[in-house]
This record gives sequence, C-alpha cells and structure tokens, in this order.
Amino acid sequence: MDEARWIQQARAGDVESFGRLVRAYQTAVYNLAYRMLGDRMEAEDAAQETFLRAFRHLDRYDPERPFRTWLLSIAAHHCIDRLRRQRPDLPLDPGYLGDEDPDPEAALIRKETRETVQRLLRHLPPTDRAVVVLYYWYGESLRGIAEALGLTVSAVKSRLHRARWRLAQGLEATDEV
Amino acid sequence: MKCEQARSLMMAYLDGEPVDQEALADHIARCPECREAWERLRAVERLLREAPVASAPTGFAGRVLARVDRRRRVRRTVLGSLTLIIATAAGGILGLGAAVWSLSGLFQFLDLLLRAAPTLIPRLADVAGTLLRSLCLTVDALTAWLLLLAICGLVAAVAANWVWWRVVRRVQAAATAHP
Repeated sequence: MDEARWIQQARAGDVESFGRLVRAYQTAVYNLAYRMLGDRMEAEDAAQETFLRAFRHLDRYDPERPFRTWLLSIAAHHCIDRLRRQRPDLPLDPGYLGDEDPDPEAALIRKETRETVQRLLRHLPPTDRAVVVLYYWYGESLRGIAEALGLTVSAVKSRLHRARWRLAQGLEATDEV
Repeated sequence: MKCEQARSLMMAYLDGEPVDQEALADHIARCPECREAWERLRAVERLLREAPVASAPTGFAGRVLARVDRRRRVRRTVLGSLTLIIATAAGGILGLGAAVWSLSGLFQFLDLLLRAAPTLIPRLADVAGTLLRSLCLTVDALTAWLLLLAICGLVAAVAANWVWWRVVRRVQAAATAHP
C-alpha cells in the first residue's frame, strides 16, 4: 500500500513522502482542530503543529495502528493543551470558509447550524469535546477514542454521556435566548 | 420505570446498544420531563451528525512543508555550530596540552643542559674538532677522483639525451608515415 511506503520514506527523512501524507490527512486534522478550537486561525496553526510533531516523532508510530488514528490522537492532545491555556471568553468564529450555497435560505440554515454546533461544543470541557468530535465526525469507536486519548473505554463512555446531556442543556439555553 | 432508568436507556440507545425500546417509549409518553430531554438529545444528535467537515484551507500542505523545511535547516545549523564549537574546543584543549607538555620538556632539557654545561662544552668542542679534521682529510683524498667522476657523469648524461632524442624523433616520424 502507498501509505505504508510514504510513512517508511518519511521516517527516513523524505519530505516529499511526508507531503503526500499531509495532503492525504490535512482535512481530517484541520476539521478536528477547527471543531475543537472553534477558530480558523487557531485551527490552522494547531493542524500545522500536529503535522510537525508527527514528522518529528514518526519513529514512535506503531504501523499496526491506523495512521489516521495516530495523527488524530496527536491533534486532539495538542488541541486539549491549547484549550487549557486559552482564555475562556474568546469570541466565536463567525464560520469557516466560504462554501457558498446558491440557495440563500439553505445557506442561512447551514450557517446557523454551524454556529449552533460550535456554540454547543464550547459548553464542553476540552477532553469531552475531543471525545464528541472523534465520535461524531470521525465515527471512531469508544475503544478507538480511548486509545487515541489515553483513557479507559468506560471513561470515554461516561464522558460521552455527560457531554450529550450538557449539549442538550446548551441547546435548551440557545432556544430560550 | 423510573426517570433515572429511562435516561440510562436513552444513552444506551444513542450508543447503538440493544435496549427495550417499548419500555422507553412508554415512559417517554407518560413523563413530560423525560420527553423534553429526549427531544433535546435527538436534536443534538441530528445537529452533530449533520454538521459538515471543515476542509483544510488552500495552500495548507505547502505551509506545513515550508515549516518542516525551516525547522530542519535551523536544526542543521544548530548541530553544525555545535560540532564546530566542540571541535574547536577539543583542538584548543589538545594544543594547550601539547604546548604545556612541550614547554615542560623544553624546561627539563634546558635544566639538564645548564647542569651539564661545565663538563659538556669542552667535550663537545673536542668532538667537533676531530670531526672537522677528518672531513678535511677525506675531501683532500677524494678531490681528484670526485672531479673525474663529475666529468664522466656529465658526458654520460649528454650522450644519453642525444640518443633518447634521436629515438623519439624516429618513432614520431614512423607514426606520422603510417597512421
């Protein structure tokens, strides 16, 4: 498989092969960073830092595990660290990228949905946010999330449940406003 | 069924686990609080599942690779500088060591010389005189022969050059005639 070869060559210091890996996983890593941080600039910086760390620590990658999960694990840990250092009252990014919808009404609904999702995610503590993003956007299993975040499966499950209740409360508060 | 049990069942259902759906539906139908909570949970679930994936911005990969390249260059420069500093320090230490060692050796030699000077100098003068006298006698005895040898050598060298020149010219002429 090409990916295994790219990883092997990138491990030997081949930047071109690493570039192929970056192009293959850039959206996965960027989306996770954006969902976690809620800001485009922060997300780009975090996603870049994720790839730099991955390149530096490629020798620690276990080829038995999926490369994507390993990358997402680095990204999630990095974003959790950033969120812990960040001010809690940063303004919400008005929405990512200009994926213009030809139908203005549909565009408005999509924009509102995006904003609601980002606003809801902000109700969650960093690790719970990572659990929710990995579960809903990446379809990771509870075991996969546990491995990626260094938690037990039962801890992931209880965090996911707690996060759902918090999001539901957040939605209620949004509706009341 | 109590509300607490119903809420556990809601979570299990959302996790995709098999649950007693009839019992849950029955409780939800009778309990307005759980019904509202369930509706909120379903709405959140829909929102999260429908939320799109944010694509990486244009030129993202290029910017990552530029940073990788920059970091590698900085690392190489730092490593190179460190190697140079270590090599210079090692060379300096070696040179200093050698200088200290040789100076101490020189001082020891001078010290020995000064201690031996009163008896050594007349002996050295004796040896030097004997050597000079021997040299003069040898030169006197060999001068005629050396002169003859030098003339013979000169003649032999001129003859060898003339023969060599003739041979080379002949070979060159033959090569030109039969290419």
